[in-house]
Amino acid sequence: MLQALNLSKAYGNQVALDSLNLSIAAGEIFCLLGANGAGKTTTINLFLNFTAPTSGQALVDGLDVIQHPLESKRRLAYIPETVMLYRNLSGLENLDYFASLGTQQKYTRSQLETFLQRAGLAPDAATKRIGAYSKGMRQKVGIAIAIAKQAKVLLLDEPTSGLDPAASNEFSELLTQLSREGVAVLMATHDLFRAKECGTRVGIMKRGRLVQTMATSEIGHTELEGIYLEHMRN
Amino acid sequence: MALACLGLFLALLLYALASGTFQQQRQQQTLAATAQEETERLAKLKAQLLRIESGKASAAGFLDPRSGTAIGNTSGVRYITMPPAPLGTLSVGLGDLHPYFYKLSLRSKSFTLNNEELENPLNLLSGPFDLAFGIVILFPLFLIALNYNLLSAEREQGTLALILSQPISLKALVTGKVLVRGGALVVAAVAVTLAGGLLFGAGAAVFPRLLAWTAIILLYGLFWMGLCVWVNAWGRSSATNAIALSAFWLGFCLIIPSALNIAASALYPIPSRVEMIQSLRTAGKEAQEQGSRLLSRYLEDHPEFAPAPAPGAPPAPAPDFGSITYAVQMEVDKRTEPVLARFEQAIAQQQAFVDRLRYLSPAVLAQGALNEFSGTGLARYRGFQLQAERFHRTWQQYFFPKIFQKAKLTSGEIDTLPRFRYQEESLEAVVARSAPLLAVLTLLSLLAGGLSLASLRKFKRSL
Amino acid sequence: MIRTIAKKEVVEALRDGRFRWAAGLVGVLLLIALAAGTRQFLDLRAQHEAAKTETRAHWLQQGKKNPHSAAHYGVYAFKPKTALSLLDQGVDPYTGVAAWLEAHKQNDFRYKPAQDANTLARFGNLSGAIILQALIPLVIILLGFSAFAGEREQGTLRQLLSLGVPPTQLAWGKALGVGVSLAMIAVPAALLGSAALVFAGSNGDYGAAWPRFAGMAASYVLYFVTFIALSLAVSAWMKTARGALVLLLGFWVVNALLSPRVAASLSQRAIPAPGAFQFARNIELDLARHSDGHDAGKHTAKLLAGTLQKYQVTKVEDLPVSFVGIRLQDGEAQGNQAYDARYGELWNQYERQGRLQEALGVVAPFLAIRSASMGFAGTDFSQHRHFAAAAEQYRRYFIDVINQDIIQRAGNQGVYLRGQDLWSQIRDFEYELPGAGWVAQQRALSLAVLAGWTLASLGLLLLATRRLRLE
Ligand SMILES: Nc1ncnc2c1ncn2[C@@H]1O[C@H](COP(=O)(O)OP(=O)(O)O)[C@@H](O)[C@H]1O
Ligand SMILES: [Mg+2]
Repeated sequence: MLQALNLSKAYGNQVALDSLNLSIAAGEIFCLLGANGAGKTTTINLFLNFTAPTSGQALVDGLDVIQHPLESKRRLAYIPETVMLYRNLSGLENLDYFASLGTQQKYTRSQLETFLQRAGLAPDAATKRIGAYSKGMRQKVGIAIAIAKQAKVLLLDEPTSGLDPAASNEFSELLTQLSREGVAVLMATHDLFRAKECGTRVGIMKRGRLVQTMATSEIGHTELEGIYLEHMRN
Repeated sequence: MALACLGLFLALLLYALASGTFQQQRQQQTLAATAQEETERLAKLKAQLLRIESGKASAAGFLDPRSGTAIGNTSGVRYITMPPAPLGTLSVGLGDLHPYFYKLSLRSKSFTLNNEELENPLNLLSGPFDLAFGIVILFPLFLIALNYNLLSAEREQGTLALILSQPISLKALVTGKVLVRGGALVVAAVAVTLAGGLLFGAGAAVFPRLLAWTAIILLYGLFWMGLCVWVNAWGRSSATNAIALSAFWLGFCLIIPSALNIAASALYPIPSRVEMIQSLRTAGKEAQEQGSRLLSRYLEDHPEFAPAPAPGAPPAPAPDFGSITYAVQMEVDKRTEPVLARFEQAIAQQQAFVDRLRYLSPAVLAQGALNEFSGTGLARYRGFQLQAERFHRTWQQYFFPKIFQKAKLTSGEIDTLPRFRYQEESLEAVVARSAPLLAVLTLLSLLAGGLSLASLRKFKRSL
Repeated sequence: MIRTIAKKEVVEALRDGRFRWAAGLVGVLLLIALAAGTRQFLDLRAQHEAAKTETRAHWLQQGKKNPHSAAHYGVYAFKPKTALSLLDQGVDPYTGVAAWLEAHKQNDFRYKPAQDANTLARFGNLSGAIILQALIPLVIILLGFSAFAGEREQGTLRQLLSLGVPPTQLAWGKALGVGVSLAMIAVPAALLGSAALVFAGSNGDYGAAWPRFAGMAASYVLYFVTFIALSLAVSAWMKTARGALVLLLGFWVVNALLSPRVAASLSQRAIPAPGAFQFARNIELDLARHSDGHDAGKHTAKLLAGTLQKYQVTKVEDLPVSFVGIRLQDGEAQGNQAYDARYGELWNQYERQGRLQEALGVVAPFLAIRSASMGFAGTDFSQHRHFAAAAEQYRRYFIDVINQDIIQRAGNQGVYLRGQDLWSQIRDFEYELPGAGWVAQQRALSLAVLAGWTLASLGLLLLATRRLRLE
């Protein structure tokens, strides 16, 4: 579903991503770990075609994102560290706007409410302006957009950093549910615990290189932390 | 960025000064040309009269060159001129619409004192680009451009909290910043003003006027700086500050004056000139119809002007064309007086209304005061108009008796024809007129300064 | 997609207090300006019509007199107000309202309304034109400066682009949104304006007004589209909303505030025109030159000799025509030559100054829309000249009728008097405003400049959205 072929990106002579080869299948949740500046955001931006790669290819559902900038985006949903929404619009209106732009179709109000409900947003919050939303609520609107869009791919850039443990947990559960429906998820995160809990695979990135990938089913929490710290040390 | 702003401001002010100088020079050239034309014409007239008196030339023709009609109406007329405003280079003021010279004639006042400068109406519509415009309109814009994000920029960069954690008071920080940024603009404005005034102004007499200009610039600048600080103390974003300050500028410089203007025209409408023309014409027509009757009545009132019958000659012949014409002109003046008076009264009423309400905008106050001290305000032009009217009567009174008596002027009299001398208004009069403007401007500046300091105190508490 | 984007922009604008205030204020100001303009127009037109009737009545009722004396009495030509002048007064306050048409002389238009106005009038005349040309662009800037830059700062731009919204569609949607928000102010005003126009033009140039109204409306649409596209382009280009705002406000200042005054002062220097004294003096000297130097007597003698020879007589008394009339007509012919040359020169200088300012519209579209707008309103200098030329044509016509009457009938002895039968032979002065096509031709430069701005700003917008930056 999501494929990186020798994907590289350099800013001047600083290499942000070094020949990444990665393939994420439908129903998989791939968690990208790594220190600040390791190249996680760069990877996601490349899949979004927000930046052009220096070499290599990024494919979404088999489509090259540069050759099919719009088609590829129709298949994915993006949730950044904080889902940015229009302050003067309510959660419902934001969802309506983004969903209709993302899917080119008009949803009824009750459909939109259902999406928000599935994303776990309390019904009375839906009609409030975003100005009053907490970060967790914003992330839920982001999920609702992804649901409305029936995205096959989710690109998440540290979506849970700064969330309290309960909200973070709730978020992971939503992800698991979506992946069960066949969504491929690429999530950059610093939260080793969450990565192990809900991810199917984790990858450790260091100075632009994906240095190790492993299936979460094969390792324990402490083991993962050990490996991660080991990589960071040298 | 700040330096570029300052440079641009300076460049615009210098251009404004150049453009004001250009206008002033045009006026000076015109005045010089009128003086020259008058001198040449009078010299020629005198020579002609001398030739006639010595019998070298004949006085025959349609009109005797020695007659009051010929001399007082064409060959011997003088110009009524007002010298350029002391600081006209700095402010064109009302100078581009109000006449500064008239050519005399013996005809009615409304006919004679009806000189309008020729200028492309499109340029009049645009208005002059003079230093006063630079100071009243552009100066606040530059102050805003430099000061709109005094505090908001620090906050947006996240440095405000850091700075405030240092042992420095917010008041000192903000006043320091605003005075450095605003001060540079003030210095530029004052420097260009002084340079312009000293280089192109009318000698030492302009010193007190330049002092007043400097004071107005300072006060006006202070007002806008205070406003900038106050808006910054609201604690909104830089963009909101920029919008709010632009709105203040727009309000003071365009909307308040325009709204007052609309209100003034609605409350104190000025009767139409079209109607006035018709009234003048009716009056003129009636006077004309009564022409010869008027003359005899005038001569009854002033028997001393009746031409003396030669001893033993038959009774005086029917009054001549020239005499009737001027009797009619005097009657026209008399009859049109109420029409013109009504007109002037309406204009004065509207102006009085505007004068009472101009305190609502510091921009209007500053412009008014700058014009006053430049010598391009309404009062100076009105004063000139009144002096011109008085002199026009003097001129008529000098010639009419000669015309009625059919007297011939001599070459010697050409040198002693009445001459207009403009009485420049005293500085005291200017000061007296602008004192309330300056007082209110001072008050507004203090108010803006006080408001800004008070709001800073509040801002700190809410931080 | 464009509609969805536009709708959201409108909703957001309506919820933005800043826009509500600005729009409310501009809307109210526009209504006030329209009301004041309509009232003034109706007053002025009533006065004009009364004066026109009266000046004709004066002419007809001047009783028995010598025809030349009637020619000296003359008539007044009053400049008519067009219905569209209620939207844009143009240069009307700065041209005189009336010219006296009399024998021998082409007089200037006298009594500039601006001269009688109070001292605030020069500060800012809140006409419909100023609101449309200066304030509405400010509202557009307010609506547009954060369109892209604000979303970039909020982070919603990433969100939008991650959805696969093509940036150009986004730009069109936003442009449409700004346009619709603007229409909320402009359309009620335009409707009221049209109503005022129908009402005002209900007897008179109503029919002629519509093509002109259409031309004016089209020019303003071009101007507004330019500002919308520019605001969005700058917003897409600049990193921050603050930067976009400051840049746009700077452009506004240059456009609406500096450009007219700088253009005026530049054109005065580039194409100098004489002042009143110089102009009058030039004509005086021309006239003196035409009549054989300063010796009028010699010229008259020559004319008399020529006339006597033509009719093969030796004495004035024997002439079958009136020599006085011939002399008058000869004087007119000489005068006309001088006036044609001097006024033609002066007016050409003014038109060239105007044209230079139109060309400077390349730097500031304000100059172009101002000239196009007052062109269609019938209040620009070209139409003042058109009227002045028609008035002068009429003056020559009636002076000619009178002089011919004198030549043919006055004889060479005694007093010659005529009455109403001659006065009424002279038709009344009727003036017809040129059509919208004539205006479009005269103002072609401004219209081209406006169209150029529109295309260029749209191109800029496309370019800026193509390279839409995310940070
Ligand atoms: N726009 C940019 N210009 C220059 N360097 C950049 C840019 N964006 C990211 N980088 C560099 O690329 C590297 C990877 O950054 P990023 O992908 O944001 O890391 P992460 O998301 O893993 O924290 C960093 O060294 C960063 O400094
Ligand atoms: Mg990152």
